[in-house]
Amino acid sequence: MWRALVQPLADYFRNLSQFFKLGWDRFWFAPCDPTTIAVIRIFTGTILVYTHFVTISITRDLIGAHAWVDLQAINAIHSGDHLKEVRERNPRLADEMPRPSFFSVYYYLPQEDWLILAVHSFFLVAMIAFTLGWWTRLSNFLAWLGHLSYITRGFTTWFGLDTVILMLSFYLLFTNSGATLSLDSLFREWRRRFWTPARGYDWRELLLAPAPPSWSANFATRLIQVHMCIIYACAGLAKLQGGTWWAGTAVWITMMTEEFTPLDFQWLAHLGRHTWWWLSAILTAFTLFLEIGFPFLIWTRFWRPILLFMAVLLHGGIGVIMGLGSFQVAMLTGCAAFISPEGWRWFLATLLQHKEPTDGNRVSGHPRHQGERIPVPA
Amino acid sequence: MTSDMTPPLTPKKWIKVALSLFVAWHFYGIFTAVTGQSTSMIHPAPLPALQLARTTYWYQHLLFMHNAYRFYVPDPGPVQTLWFRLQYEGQHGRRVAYWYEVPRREDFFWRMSYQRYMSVTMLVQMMGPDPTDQTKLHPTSETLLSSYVRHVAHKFPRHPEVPEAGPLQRIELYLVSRTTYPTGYDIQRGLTLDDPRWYRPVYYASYTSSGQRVQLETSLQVLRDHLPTILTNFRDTSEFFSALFPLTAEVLLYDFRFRIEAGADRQSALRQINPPEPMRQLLRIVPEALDLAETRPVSPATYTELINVLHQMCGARRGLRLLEDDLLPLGVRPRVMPPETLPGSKPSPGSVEPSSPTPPFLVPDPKNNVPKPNNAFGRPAVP
Repeated sequence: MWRALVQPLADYFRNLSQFFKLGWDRFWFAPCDPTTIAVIRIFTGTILVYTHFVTISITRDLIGAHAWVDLQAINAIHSGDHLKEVRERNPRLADEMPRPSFFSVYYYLPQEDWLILAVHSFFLVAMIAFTLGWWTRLSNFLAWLGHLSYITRGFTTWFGLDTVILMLSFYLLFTNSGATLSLDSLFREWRRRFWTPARGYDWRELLLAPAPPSWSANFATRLIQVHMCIIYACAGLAKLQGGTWWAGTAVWITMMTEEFTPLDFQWLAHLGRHTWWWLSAILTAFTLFLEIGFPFLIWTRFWRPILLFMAVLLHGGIGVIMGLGSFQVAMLTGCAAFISPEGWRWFLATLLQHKEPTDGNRVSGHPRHQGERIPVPA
Repeated sequence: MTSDMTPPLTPKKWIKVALSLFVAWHFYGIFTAVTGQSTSMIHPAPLPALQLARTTYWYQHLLFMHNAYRFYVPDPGPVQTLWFRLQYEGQHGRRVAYWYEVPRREDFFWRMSYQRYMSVTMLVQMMGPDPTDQTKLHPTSETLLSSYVRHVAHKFPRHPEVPEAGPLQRIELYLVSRTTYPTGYDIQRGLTLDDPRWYRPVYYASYTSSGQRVQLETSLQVLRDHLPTILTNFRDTSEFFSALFPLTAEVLLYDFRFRIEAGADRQSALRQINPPEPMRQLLRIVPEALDLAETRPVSPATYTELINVLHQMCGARRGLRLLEDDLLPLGVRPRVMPPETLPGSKPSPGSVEPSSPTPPFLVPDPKNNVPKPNNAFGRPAVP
């Protein structure tokens, strides 16, 4: 009797575990076209290069020997010496206080400005190579290490952009993001077709040559997708603690933050007695809906295009209002992980006026899977 | 790096297991990072989340993934900046001051550089107070501020505008924050974003050029620390008194006056002391304060008079116009006057003479078209 009663339950859990295992496998390890990852690489690299290039003039102030935060302060914080007074008053509290344990290449360099600038320039070159997809695996690692070292050495010079860019460049380490749309793939295709002059040397064809599907591309894409959902969920849910987000005036205050905003929005107040509040309330509700709804709705086929369009509006709007253009491009780069490789291929082919071969969505260049249809992550 | 290797379409089993474990650990670390941080003093992180976060600190910090992604929470603003007052030795015992405001938008061509400097000033003030001594900043902030002072001392070892000034004596640090931002109604009443009264500079500490804190003399401690607090807290809150007034009065009476006495003209003196932008803006609104500081003797009476002049003239010149809704609680419903009926304007053909006179508190100033506030109703509202 007991066996008969327990059996359905056991079957249920066995089926559940098998279903979970299959779903887990399919979610993380199904092979896919690496075009999406390649697009993310190009945007991530471009932001990295821009970020480091435009701050060259203040590099010494940020990571030099006499930077805003010098090594003397960082060593004191890492070792816990700065908690000496707290320890005298409350030893237990001092032990419980978190102590940062950041890593930076610059911590171990002799504090000479010329040497620091030379290492910084080396990382900048690696970032350019990463953007172009040249020696992509190595340049990806160096670009990530360079940016990590830069912001941990600066210690208090980072903001949201840096965490998003670091996240993207870290996840790209799990795959070969230069498999397509890169100098690596361009050279590879060029070498492969060198002996077949009949095909010609159209650079667009070489650049857009389909890469073999890869499970690691899917794995990296999934990591980015899940992390983007966490970012939006945290940003949206934490806003519910603030009174202005409930009152609908948060976006107005953001517009009035003259330290950030590049434009003067005071004229909006004169459009009507309460118009500014209506406008702010609508934009505030829009922000909350997108940020809280994104982690749940983005996985459905119906809502995905709508949410991505809303994300473009939101981040474009923040870029205009707050002047944080690079940060918003970084967020949209993360959102690009939700666009299928087929979508990106169509977009790029249309942009470059290149006619894709009819088997463009099928495996090419893979001996065992030649001609198979490339699966697209849901 | 070119590669002709064809990757397998599915990973080996041990790779799957290893990566699955990594995914579980990694997102556990992210979860503890985003839940183990307090939004603010009144929104602390729950204790279980704090304890879980301790298990992954090393991992979060190694990858720099310790951000809680709480952008503009709990509410947007306010922005915090830093003002450094560098004091150099001068002739005849007269000190020479130079103000360094961080960050100042005009100093940066690229937005990214400005944003980095903004992080420098904001992150150090966002760590909250010392848990064992609420009058001081967090020990990490203290350590960082000492480092900031060393950086500024290295950047300006000599006075950038007065070559004959002696070496750097000490650096005084002010934490500056915007008190609030105007609502649409405030702007309709006539307040503007660049009003200097929004700024609240608070003296924090004095340092040597090596970043060691020094104790000020008692009289200076009162002037820097206690007096602005007393003046700000014991005023009628509707007077819109800003902590910028006593600080500007002090700068005029000492830093500016000493340069004038050293033979500099007014513009040169201001260039040499390089006051922060809100202070400049205040002096643009109330230029009489410069006359007072130049002509009156240095005394507590002049100091008080300067504060009063700055306060009253700024209030008068940046006065608020009343809105219709402001009067409704008082049972008054003013008529909305067409522009042609205002004093000094020609009546348009066919216009009707108003049946009742314009309420005095709504009569606009013909010069700048800003209504003069009435004593009974026109006191500026506290934003």
